[in-house]
Amino acid sequence: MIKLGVPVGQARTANSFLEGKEFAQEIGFPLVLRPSFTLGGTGGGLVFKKEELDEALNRALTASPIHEVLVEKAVMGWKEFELELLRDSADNVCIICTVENFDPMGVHTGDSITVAPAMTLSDTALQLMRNTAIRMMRDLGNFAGGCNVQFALNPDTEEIQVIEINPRVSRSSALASKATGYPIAKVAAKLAIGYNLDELENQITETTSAYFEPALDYVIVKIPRWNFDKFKGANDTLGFQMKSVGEVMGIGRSFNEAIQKACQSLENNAVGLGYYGKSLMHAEELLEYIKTPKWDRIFRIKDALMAGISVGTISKATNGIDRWFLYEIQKICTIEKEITKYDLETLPLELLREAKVNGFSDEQISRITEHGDEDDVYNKRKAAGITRVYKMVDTCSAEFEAKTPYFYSTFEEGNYNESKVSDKKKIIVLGSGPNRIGQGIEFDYCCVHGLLAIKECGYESIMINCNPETVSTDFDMADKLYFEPVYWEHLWEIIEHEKPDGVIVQLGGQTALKLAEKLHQKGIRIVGTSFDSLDIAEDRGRFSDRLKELDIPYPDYGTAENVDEAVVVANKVGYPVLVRPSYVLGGQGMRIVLNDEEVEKAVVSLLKHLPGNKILIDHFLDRCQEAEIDAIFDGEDFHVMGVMEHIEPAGIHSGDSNAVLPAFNLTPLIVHTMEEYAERIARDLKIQGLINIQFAIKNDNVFVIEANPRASRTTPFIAKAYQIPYLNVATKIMMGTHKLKDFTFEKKLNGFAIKEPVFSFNKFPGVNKELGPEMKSTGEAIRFIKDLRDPYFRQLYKDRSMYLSK
Amino acid sequence: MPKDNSIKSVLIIGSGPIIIGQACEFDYSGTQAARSLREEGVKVILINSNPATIMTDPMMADKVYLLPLTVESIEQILKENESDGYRIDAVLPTMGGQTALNLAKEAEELGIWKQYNVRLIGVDIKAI
Repeated sequence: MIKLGVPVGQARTANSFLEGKEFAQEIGFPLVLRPSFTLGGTGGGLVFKKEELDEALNRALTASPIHEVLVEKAVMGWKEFELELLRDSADNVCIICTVENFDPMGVHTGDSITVAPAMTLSDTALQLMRNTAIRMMRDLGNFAGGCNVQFALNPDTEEIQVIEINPRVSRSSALASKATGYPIAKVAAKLAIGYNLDELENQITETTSAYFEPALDYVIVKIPRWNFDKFKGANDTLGFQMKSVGEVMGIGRSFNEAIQKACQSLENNAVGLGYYGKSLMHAEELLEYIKTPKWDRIFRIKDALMAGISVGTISKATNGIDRWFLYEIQKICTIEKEITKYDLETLPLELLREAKVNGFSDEQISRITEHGDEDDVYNKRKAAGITRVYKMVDTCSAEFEAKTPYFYSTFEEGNYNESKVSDKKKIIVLGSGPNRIGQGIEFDYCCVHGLLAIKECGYESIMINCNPETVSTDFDMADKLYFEPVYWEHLWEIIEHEKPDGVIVQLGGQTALKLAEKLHQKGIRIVGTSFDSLDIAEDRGRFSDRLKELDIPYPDYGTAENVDEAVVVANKVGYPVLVRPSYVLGGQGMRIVLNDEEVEKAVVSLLKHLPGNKILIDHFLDRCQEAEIDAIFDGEDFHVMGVMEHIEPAGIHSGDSNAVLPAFNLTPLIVHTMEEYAERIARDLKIQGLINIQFAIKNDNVFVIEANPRASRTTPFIAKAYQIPYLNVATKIMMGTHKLKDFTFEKKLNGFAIKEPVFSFNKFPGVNKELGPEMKSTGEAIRFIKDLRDPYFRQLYKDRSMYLSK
Repeated sequence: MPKDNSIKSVLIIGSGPIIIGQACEFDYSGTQAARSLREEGVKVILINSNPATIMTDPMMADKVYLLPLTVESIEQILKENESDGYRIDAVLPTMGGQTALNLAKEAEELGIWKQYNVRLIGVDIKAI
């Protein structure tokens, strides 16, 4: 780099503790430690003071597989940019996308809110970055493929520095592909087998070459999704080590529209940029709070602007968030303040339109006016002709004709729609939104299969999702892709536009399932199991009543809305009890408690986070065995896809347990009983499609713990282990085009398959690996074993109670 | 330069289980790469230990190995395919994040690519 005359930060590579200390002294504080060959910045960090150095340096050296750490001068307050490039073996280079980080240097790019195209970059600085990046690419050995370069820019002098270069596709290139419509990985693979950029076609236009740089006539905003609630005691300050578990992308015609859509995509109760009805901090508190980057800083910045703090002060407090962004957010505040002057009836249409153009959701407007609900706002604006139109992501700002059916919504005068509705029969598949613990990549797998099965049945497949990391949002998976929040208002407008034959909610996890009620109310066909049956399975009270009628045992349970009730119920069902909120994901907030005092504590803490929640209290079957079944029912025939037995005893969330397929220790009679119960439930609930049922087995008695009337975390695992395209089959059964009779199933598995959970605890130093009823794992792996004498299995079996927290 | 016709089959290395810092974006890139290569008539052999990915689906590659991401697995795959018409000509390690790159590098250091006469494509090992 230095040889090339490329400006880099003052840095030295240290291989030992002593070297590291020496270089730190030389370079001075604050400084950054970057371990070599780690991902997501594991073990890296910012060191402000000499006292912090020893511990941080040790951690960084240990994290690197080759015991190597780059000690670098920290450029605080500089802006951060990323360039995504492609290079071929003839040394052609093109820049696919320039991404700007909203958060200044100091926050890992995976944890930063990012915007494309770059918003605050001057042309001279952009050209300097381009030229530098191209020069670096050409010098970086002889390779053909994708590359990512990160720059820091001094906002005062426009001086730039290279922070990092990755000669591979990355998280940012997936984002850049979705942001521009340019399939970076696809082209990179072709470059790797010898093609040059000019020999490939742009698959979006099909008439122009791939050797071009996309132009955007819209803005995208990416917001990461964190799960700090799962890691009690974790340091939630954002820094050089990535901590987020997923991300969402919002597309709009302006930064404001895009960021509000991204907020609506997050599924953390935000209805736009702002929480409403929650107690706000004082101005001084806010100003203090936003000095540290945390997951909710963007919301607090908006609160600070609402409280009247100036853009300049906020920019300074946040160590350099560009004023342009803050001025934009201030526009949102101005509109919001204006709206509060009216109620829904008196709200002027021009103001309503302006709010919509700036990304406000209907619900947000109804909450600001404290009047009516989202449907009222919706009806008012529809009557006034304020309707979403759909625009194409075409890589070329409409310069050439594009063929790709990849759309986002916006508002504009004249309502010109680029999304033409075909006269084919259509089915919409709802995606699962951002990845998070408890709902991840497995639902992307399910959605992709759903889309392909829909196409095979001769229908047009339409995908709705907002997660840029997924395959289901690839522009050529569905016949049509709407890159929109999986959020009722957006869904409803797409339905009104497309008039589909039905909507599939079984493939997108809890996110999609949650929307079933609204669909049902509006009379939209839910493909597969009906809303009422979905609701029975989801509603603990209704489900238990049903089990009772069906003569199926379940752990004694009760519900409570306050502490006193909870104590009574807990005593009635008998300790130990499982305390949990209703309608949550991955066992969030779930606790196992042993006495009245603990019940009280657990309930108080739950109600603090989820006021008004109905709390479920189950008798906990101590030391029992857990197992689960995934099955398909078509109204006549019932097919068990797989029976999985957990290695760990009950008390550890099913997503965190090692599951063995098929069961390895349960008697045939127990397995038969489980299957028989599962079939009885499926028949009774008139399931059409998928169902997952979880069991507890104690003293040879089988209890049903819960049922999920949808694709589960384990469905893809079973499909892989048995080599049967179960999701394809299930989708066709949901649609009613096929019956189970039409398929033959041949389960190809010698021995056993183990689904092993994989954790990310090493990202949170100081947090113990303790497992309980709340899911903590971020991913999974599969391992095939021939028999139970396998040493790996024996070890797992021996350690099964090792991490049990209670 | 047009397509290099000496490359008839490619091994793509996936990124393994989802952890913070390495998530499903690599399923997306791996899937794209697999489809892109097959479009060109190149056979795709894939290794990944993550069963929740779409890239490990039989419809995405010619052969899928759901194995731990270790040098031993790589060697097993190369050996198995030496004689049965799927002989692996090249390996593409740039689609599976840092995990895949590190694995390719380790295999390079142990001389495995050379031993089985496999080319590393899409990357220059020096650049890593």
